[in-house]
Amino acid sequence: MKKLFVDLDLCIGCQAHSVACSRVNHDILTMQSGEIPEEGTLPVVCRHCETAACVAACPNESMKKHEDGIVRRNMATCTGCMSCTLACPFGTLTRGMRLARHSSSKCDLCAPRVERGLEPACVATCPTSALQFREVEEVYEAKDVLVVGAHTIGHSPYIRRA
Amino acid sequence: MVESRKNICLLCSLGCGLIVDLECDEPVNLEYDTENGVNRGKLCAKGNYILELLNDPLRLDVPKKDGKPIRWEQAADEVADALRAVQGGKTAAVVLSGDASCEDVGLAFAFAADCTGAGKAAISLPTGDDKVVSALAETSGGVAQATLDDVENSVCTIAVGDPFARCPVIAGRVLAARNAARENSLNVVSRESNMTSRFAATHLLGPERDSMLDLVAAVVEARGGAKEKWLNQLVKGVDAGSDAQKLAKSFVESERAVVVLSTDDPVVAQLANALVKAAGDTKGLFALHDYGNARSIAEISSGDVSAEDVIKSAARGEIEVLLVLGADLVSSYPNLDVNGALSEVQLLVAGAPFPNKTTSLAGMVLPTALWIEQDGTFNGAQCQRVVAPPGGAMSYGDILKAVAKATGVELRAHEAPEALAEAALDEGKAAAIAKAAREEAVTSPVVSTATCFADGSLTDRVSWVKMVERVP
Repeated sequence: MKKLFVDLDLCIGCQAHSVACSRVNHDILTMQSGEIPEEGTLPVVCRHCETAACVAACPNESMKKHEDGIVRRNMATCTGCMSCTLACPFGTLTRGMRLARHSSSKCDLCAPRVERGLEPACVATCPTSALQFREVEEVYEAKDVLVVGAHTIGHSPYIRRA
Repeated sequence: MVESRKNICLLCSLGCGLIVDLECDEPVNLEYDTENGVNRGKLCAKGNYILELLNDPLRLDVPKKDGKPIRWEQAADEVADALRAVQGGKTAAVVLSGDASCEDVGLAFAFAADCTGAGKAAISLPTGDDKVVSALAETSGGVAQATLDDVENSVCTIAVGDPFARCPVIAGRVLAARNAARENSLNVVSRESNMTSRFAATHLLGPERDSMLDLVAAVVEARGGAKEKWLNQLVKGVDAGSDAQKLAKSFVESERAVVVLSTDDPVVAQLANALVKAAGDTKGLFALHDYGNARSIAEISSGDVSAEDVIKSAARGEIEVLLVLGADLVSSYPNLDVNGALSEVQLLVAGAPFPNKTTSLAGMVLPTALWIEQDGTFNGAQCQRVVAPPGGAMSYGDILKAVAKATGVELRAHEAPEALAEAALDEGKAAAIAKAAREEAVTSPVVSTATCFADGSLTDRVSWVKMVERVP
């Protein structure tokens, strides 16, 4: 399946991805930015883990791993208990904004856009193409990039040039 | 039925393409224009907010006098009456924002000539760019202007300031050039560490004037002296450091090299021109400005009166009627007593898309259209309007035409003043630049405020945070 990757050699920390994300998701920011002191900011991307801690933590079964590999949150049943935000080991889930303040925010890889043949908004807008939407196998087998922390828990979205 | 219309972004001088999707003539979605040659679909944080600009509930949509709504005809008549009443010794002035179309700039000059008596028309580029653009024009003779393709194919790129922060979309081209081959390099000249310097092979850290002067001297030395006398005079007595010498050698020897300039200091801009000129052929300069149609306006404006001059004239009580369209003078010039100056004006008319500090002082407030809501030439591209402006908002040109009509004058449309002539550096200018370059830069902050939200944000690079947190 296709997932998000961040090329750390191209990311300038402009945070355009956050703006694009909140724009297409009606002001619900589903992609955070992390700041590494003296290094800059970089996108913090939901990894859509194989065994997702957020899914296990959700008491209402609002968070589910679907057949297409995407972990989705059902907003109608989410009570905003924030168990998922505590459970996520990567800090990708936070409280929603504006109308969605009662719930957490969750990236669904812009499924409606992808169905229309478009790229996720964060990928489409990224000024340096640091954010990429690529087949996981293709990236892991590529010889020109290295996946940072490839053997850590879950899928690592961070890549560097070999 | 969804209809898609293309336009460009004017929130910096790159002019990135974008698509607005409309449903029943209402903007409903912003899409990325992957066919646009400038940005290939990419947009920075600011560009992503254009739809919010169009749909913002704070947009001004009706003319107001002393806070009360009035009709356009009444507004035009009252301004015309005030213009007619301007007595000898006093004058009227027009200040136009840097996001005006080239046609509207032409109309402003015609308006100033025909409707304001011995008036003045000042083109305000409230980003500090007016000084930088003039400085670049004064010394541009023989300096090659690089294109975006030149930036992407550059072997040795020197970034002055922080171009990645000012125009993030340029970063795609610059980094593509850097990553194309191992011998390619990105080098940065800046006062402090910044977004661009994180990617630099060589970083000349320190006052930009000093570093640029060092670089020009090192380039002249690397070429074994300069043919031009003014260049020798410029670098006389400068002892460049080893980092500057290495970078200069690489810059001179590279087959294709580009200077990407992002500065508010006119002296640094002139030194950048000198650097490119000193390095010889196949080198180019790509200058970035904070936003808008600044470069095109500079090419067609005579540049005789700056917005700063208008403010100073107003403070001396010389201006009776002041028409400010688009610009927020109070926020743009924090070091000047703009409040005091504007209080001396008999009639202050402020036109803007959003309420701002200048409109709060104005006797009459006029709602203006955004560039995307009008036809016109911006950044060399002929743009068709995407959507109608809200309520009664009008373009700067249409406002000027309405006032001119009320004064009984038919404005000659689209007549632009002569372009600025290219002027070369000579020994006199070189001596002045050399003197200025050895002085500490006097900071005269000019804040970019055009097309901003009422809270003065958007042009701030991290303003999206404020935007996202702005709960209705």
